[in-house]
Amino acid sequence: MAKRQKVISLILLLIMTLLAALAAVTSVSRYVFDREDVITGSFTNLYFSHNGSGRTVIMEEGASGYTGYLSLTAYNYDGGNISARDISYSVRLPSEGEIAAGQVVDAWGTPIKLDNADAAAATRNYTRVGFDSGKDSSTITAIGSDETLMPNETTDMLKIERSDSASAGSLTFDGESIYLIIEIVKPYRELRPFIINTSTSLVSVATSAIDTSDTHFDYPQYSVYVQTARHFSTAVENVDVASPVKIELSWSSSSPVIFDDGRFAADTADNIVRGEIPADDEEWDSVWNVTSSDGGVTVTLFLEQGSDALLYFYVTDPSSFGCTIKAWFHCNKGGVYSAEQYTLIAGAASDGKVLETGIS
Amino acid sequence: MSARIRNKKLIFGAVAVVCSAVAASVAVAVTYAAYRSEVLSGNSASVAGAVADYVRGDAVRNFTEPIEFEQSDSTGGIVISDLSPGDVFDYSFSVNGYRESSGGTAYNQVLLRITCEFSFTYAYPVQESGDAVVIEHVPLSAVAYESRRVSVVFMHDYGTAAATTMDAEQTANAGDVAYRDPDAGVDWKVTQHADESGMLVQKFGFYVPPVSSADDEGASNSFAFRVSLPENNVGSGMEDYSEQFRLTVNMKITAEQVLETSVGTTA
Repeated sequence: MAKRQKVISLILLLIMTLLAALAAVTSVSRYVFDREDVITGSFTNLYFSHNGSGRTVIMEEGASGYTGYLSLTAYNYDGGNISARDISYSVRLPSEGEIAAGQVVDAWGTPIKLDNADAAAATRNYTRVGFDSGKDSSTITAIGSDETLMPNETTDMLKIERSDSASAGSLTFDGESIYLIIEIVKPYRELRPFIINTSTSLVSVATSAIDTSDTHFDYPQYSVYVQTARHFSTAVENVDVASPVKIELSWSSSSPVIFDDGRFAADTADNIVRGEIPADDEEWDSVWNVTSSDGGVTVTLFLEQGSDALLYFYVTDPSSFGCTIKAWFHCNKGGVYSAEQYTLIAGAASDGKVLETGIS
Repeated sequence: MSARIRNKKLIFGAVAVVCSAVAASVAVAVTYAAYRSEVLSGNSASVAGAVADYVRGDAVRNFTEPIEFEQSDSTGGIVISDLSPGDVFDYSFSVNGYRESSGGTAYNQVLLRITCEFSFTYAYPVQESGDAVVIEHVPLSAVAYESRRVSVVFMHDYGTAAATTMDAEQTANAGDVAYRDPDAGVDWKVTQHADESGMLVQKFGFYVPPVSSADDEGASNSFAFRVSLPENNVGSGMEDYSEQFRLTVNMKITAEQVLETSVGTTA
């Protein structure tokens, strides 16, 4: 009997324990849930190009050295890619430390070589480069007026100053090549060194092919820059300083070369107008005109002192073409006008060749 | 076999049965809770229970510039491009005690304890000897910790007049989380600890009470974090690899029901 009671008691205890456990466990059941999220932010790519490389700046002697000006256009695109952020940049000369080291180092520690040692050394002769307007930096905005991302550009006049000290010596027509540095400060710091040429010539020419989406109807676009000195008075004997200089740009090719006259007209506005080319013994006005022939085009410009002209050409057959430049000053000998050819054109060969190679 | 031995066997058997019963009950209860959780995390508004809804907010660059973000196909996370060194990047989000859907609104009906957990990693390429490039991962800190400056701050009541930056402190233990509880005198606070890999993990917590309206106290909880991206002098790198620069923010928001029974809170 005692044994049976024990078993019954044990079973009852078991049942009660089970009930208690069920009640307890049910009461500790609870909601546990979570949600995860990941945010990934990537840095913007910087696409930047400019038309300064290889340009020739006319330097004119003053009381304290030489001064020259370069119209620099910078773009917020490169190779068809457009920067998504505004780009701010300044322009400066390499420091003495950078010249001595033969390189500049960007903010990430990446060295960028100043490979041309002669140009680096000649840069020491220059005392200052900056925006002629006096501002510290220039900005290319990424967002257009319609609030969409768009290719954009800014053009600023750079003022370049050179010493004429004993160590620097005098500048000649042959001039020198020097380094300038575009220092991008936004969206992040990058350094873009490039080389320009300087000369005491009265006329300079430079070309560049901008490899961008700016390609015109799929034809490679060539930009030709023509700059004239701010003072013609020291130029040629009997020169009429009030008269413009006559520039003739001739392109030859096996297929047509297109001059963008509409763009030139829009860019130059009222400074120079399209008109009849005056004869050499007539008074010269600031006019321009263009004549075309099979596979060739000739643009004639009459540019005043201190002109900075930019012309766009589209080459339909980039495998074979050539471009030459000629210049004439208007001279006044006893009331008789004549055109005296000027061959010391900086940026061109002695025969006036500017370009004669195709695009590979 | 003696009666004493038989009694011992009986007791051992009874204990084994009791243990099995308890284990089975726990299994049943947990399974039931998981089922309830899954039901509630769906879009059904007809099931009442625990609701803590994480809602993505807006991203703003440099305090004023809205950022449109995309959703990653692979991770489902947010992808933001066009950041720059030195940018200040704000991201807002909410953890609400209700969930709105086309079927109606489900409200939280239990007391939930919410833990918000974050880690911020800034990665950039570094050129080693030769052309070798390695990606350096830098954890961003919410406190001045070792050599790190404060790069991340958290705000509560974001978007309201009561928006306030939370204090932050370094802690030794991963489990040290401050759960905001005005009744207990616990204010908003971010705790940060470094895990074994050196990753910095920031946490803060709060409670979501049962609510019956989106306007109820504790129903809507809006937050934001602000990340000050390093300037581009953090180290050496290669400009050609700028597209590899990444800011990664991992977020995990956990809701646990608080049981107000004799067992006590069991979170």
